[in-house]
Amino acid sequence: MVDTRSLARLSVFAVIAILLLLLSSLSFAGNLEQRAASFVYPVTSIIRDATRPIADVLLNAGQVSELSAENAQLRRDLTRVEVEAATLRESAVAGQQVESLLAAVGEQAHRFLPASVVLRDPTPARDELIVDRGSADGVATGQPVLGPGATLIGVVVAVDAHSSSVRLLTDSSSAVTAVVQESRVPAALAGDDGGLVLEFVPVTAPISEGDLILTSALGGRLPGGLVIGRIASVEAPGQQLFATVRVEPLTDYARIERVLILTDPVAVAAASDEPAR
Amino acid sequence: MSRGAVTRDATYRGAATLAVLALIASLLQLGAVPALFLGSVAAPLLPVALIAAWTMARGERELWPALLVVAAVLGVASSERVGWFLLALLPAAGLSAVIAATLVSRRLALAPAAAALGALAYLAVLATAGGGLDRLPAMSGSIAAAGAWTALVAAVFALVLWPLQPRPGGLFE
Repeated sequence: MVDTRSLARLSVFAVIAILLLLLSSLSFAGNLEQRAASFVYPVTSIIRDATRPIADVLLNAGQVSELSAENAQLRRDLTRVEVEAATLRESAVAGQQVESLLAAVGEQAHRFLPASVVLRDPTPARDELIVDRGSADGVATGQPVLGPGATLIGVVVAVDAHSSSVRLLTDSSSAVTAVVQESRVPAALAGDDGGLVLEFVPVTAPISEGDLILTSALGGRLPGGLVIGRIASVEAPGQQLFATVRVEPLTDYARIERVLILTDPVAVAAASDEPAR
Repeated sequence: MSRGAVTRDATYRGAATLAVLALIASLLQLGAVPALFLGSVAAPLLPVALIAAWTMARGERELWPALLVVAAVLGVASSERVGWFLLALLPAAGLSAVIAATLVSRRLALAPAAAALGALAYLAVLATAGGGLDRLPAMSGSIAAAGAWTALVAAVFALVLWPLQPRPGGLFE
């Protein structure tokens, strides 16, 4: 039988857990966690970097690492070409908006802050990354985060002095305003169990597989014209108001190592709007 | 030295060893597991497997400091609080303690089962903490896979820990 001391220890630890939860709302607890995290992040980064070559070999079923690196390079090239093609098409549709956005970005390169991913949030219901830049570097909540190929991958949701949490677009609580590039159909892009879905798209909307999804400046939270992904499937049953639209990101979120944080999205958005006035 | 003092020293040494192993398992959980499993939920939970296997091998007395270590490391690396991680680990610890206290022989064979159930409870608690309770049905496949992976790892840990079972002249005795 289980002795009473075992049950007592279990009870004590349950009480400790509840006390820790209650104490966590105090500011000193947050500071303490922040300090402890500064020791944990470097160690996990070293372990991750050391594991990545092993993971590459295992995940590529024994292929040599050169093939893996070549594949990664090709994916990056493909994403870049797709983004360039999307930019050109967007230019045709929306006049000078994207050109001015790119020009604004080029002139204001200092507004993009490079950051390294130090780890993924271990909480199962969350799709978040921890990056090594924080409020001391000018990062604030709500700032958009770009991945490889300058595609939008998420938004900053929490900031410490030297680190930040980035909620990926695939997180179930993520939602951003978006637009289908070809048809200009506006919609909301939401996370859905590791994938992306486009919500509030009428079944009659002229969209099809392969159409590119861009951010919309509607709402003022994000600059418009950032590439997110492409439509993977469209289900539009006649008896429903809205279609079920799944979107495939242009970037593999599981392999993101470095990101760009747009530290002044409002300024960039304003710059992109100027020629359209 | 009295027999009680010898037993107490062995418990301290075992607890310290497990705490160090738990620290390593937690860091591997944060650094290596996401790289190997591409950040998927369907991945082994090394600390849970270690807790189950160690408790089956040596009983529950040495377990408790390790729980705090695991919760602290995983908690500071997460947007969820340390307290949630400690709560999430308690079902695995409690279940392992009950099995270890109830069975005299073949306890190690049950380490995978305890680890699997502990992993399911761990993920359910953290999903609840993260506001993902309504997503549990959709995540059930991934959670089941995590349980299976954790059971597999616990089986390996149990084999490795087999020689550490308390006995006169054993490693910590």
